[in-house]
Amino acid sequence: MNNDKQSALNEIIGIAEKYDITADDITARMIKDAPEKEGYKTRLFKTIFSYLGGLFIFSGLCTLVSMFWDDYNSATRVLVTFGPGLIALILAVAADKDARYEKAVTPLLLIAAFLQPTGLFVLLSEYFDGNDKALAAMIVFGPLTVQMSLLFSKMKRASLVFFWTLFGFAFFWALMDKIGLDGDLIAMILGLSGLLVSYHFNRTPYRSFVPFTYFVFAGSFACGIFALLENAPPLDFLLIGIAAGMIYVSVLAQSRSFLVASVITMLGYLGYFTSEYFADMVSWPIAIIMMGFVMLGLSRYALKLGAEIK
Amino acid sequence: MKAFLKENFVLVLGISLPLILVIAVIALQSIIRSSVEPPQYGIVFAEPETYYMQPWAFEVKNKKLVITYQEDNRPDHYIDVSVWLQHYDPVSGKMERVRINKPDNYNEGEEVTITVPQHFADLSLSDKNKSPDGYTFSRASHSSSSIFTDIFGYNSRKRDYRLHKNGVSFNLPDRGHKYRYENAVFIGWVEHE
Repeated sequence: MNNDKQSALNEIIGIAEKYDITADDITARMIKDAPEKEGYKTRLFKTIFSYLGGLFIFSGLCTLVSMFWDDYNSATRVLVTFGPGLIALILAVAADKDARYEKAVTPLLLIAAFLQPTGLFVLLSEYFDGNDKALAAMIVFGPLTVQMSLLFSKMKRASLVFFWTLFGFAFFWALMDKIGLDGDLIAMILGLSGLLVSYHFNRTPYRSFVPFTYFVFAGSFACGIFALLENAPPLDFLLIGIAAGMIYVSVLAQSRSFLVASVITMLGYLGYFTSEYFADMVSWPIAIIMMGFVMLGLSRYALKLGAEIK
Repeated sequence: MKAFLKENFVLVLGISLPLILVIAVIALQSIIRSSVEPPQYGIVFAEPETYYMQPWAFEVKNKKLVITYQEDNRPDHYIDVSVWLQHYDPVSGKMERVRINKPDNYNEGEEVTITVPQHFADLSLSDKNKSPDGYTFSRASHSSSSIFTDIFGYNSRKRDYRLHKNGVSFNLPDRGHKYRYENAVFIGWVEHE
């Protein structure tokens, strides 16, 4: 970031803090003012038809390949899957250097991120015999993680961070499965790891994908730890504390999507306790009502917490 | 380096957590594996062609394999007319596989003794659960999927069979994606001459 841009950013932040203006306020105003700018409709139609055109071309190519799949030999199958992915990647790198094609970079990276692993899996399936899915996943996602991180060091794009995260965690899942770790333990560890990674990137300019990863990794952590502690009294009583901790951390992390996942986790854990310890008791209907009041209180508290997140 | 760590502490922590766990597990597995002698005794087991082992029966009598075939009145789709008889030698890593089929001109309800293929007829077997060096034949107990992945419809339970002793496992060889181990039935350990 050059000095002028940095100075402007500092000034904007100073004004925003002085008048209590949030990032959401600025974004909403920019979206609202966009139609009034000159050439907006022209740019809008151009964007819509560009995306539709690209989508149609991509869908047509995929359909064409799938129609003749049985007629292709192994080399051709690898070429028609991995080849376009590699081409899209090269085009993305070239487009990044030219301001005229800046908007094409993300769609090209998306195509590359989808087709490259597909092509590599086809390569493994066509030329190697074996039943080791974990090893195959490691062979595919490991190099792609390195590729995305190297590209990010040059191109500095949020989409690259997202793909790096996606491939990196897929590689780790496969590696941990390969060494014999249980799926629930893997979900818990990678969920926690993913939350930490999301926390870091939420404080960088590459934070556009973080709400999604917060939600997914919070869900993974919650499911993993639940599977490990359920039906293991008295350890399963820790689940309520864990869910409460997640809600607290979501406020610290300033993430609504993390908060939503944490609230769903708390409700799920409460449902588990209700059915596990109170289902056969006469007090079961009372427990349900009390749980309802707890849910109401929790939702009101979550709204209050959400309002604190700027 | 210090400045980088300070600035990206949370990111480094997030990436290093699973890495530390992986290294610790691999180190622990290596230490435990080095303390256990690899399996020295071969194993004989059978697998159905599709899913059901009925109406096949495998016994070890006087250290020799006896195979019998007897259909009952269950529907045909619950009967496997072929099974795979297998001998795995963990020392050489070789797997001998022979397919045996339902006898020709079989009369329903009749118990028929099947001729044991020569390779297996020459083996001297013990039908004890544990091999002489303490290994057992069992199915892998862990699953690569979790509740989280089950939500998205991905469910993968391990079908690997292994020789297991004191927390150390030696998986049977990978036979390729077309041949997964299904409902293997333990028959016996191959005794050394």
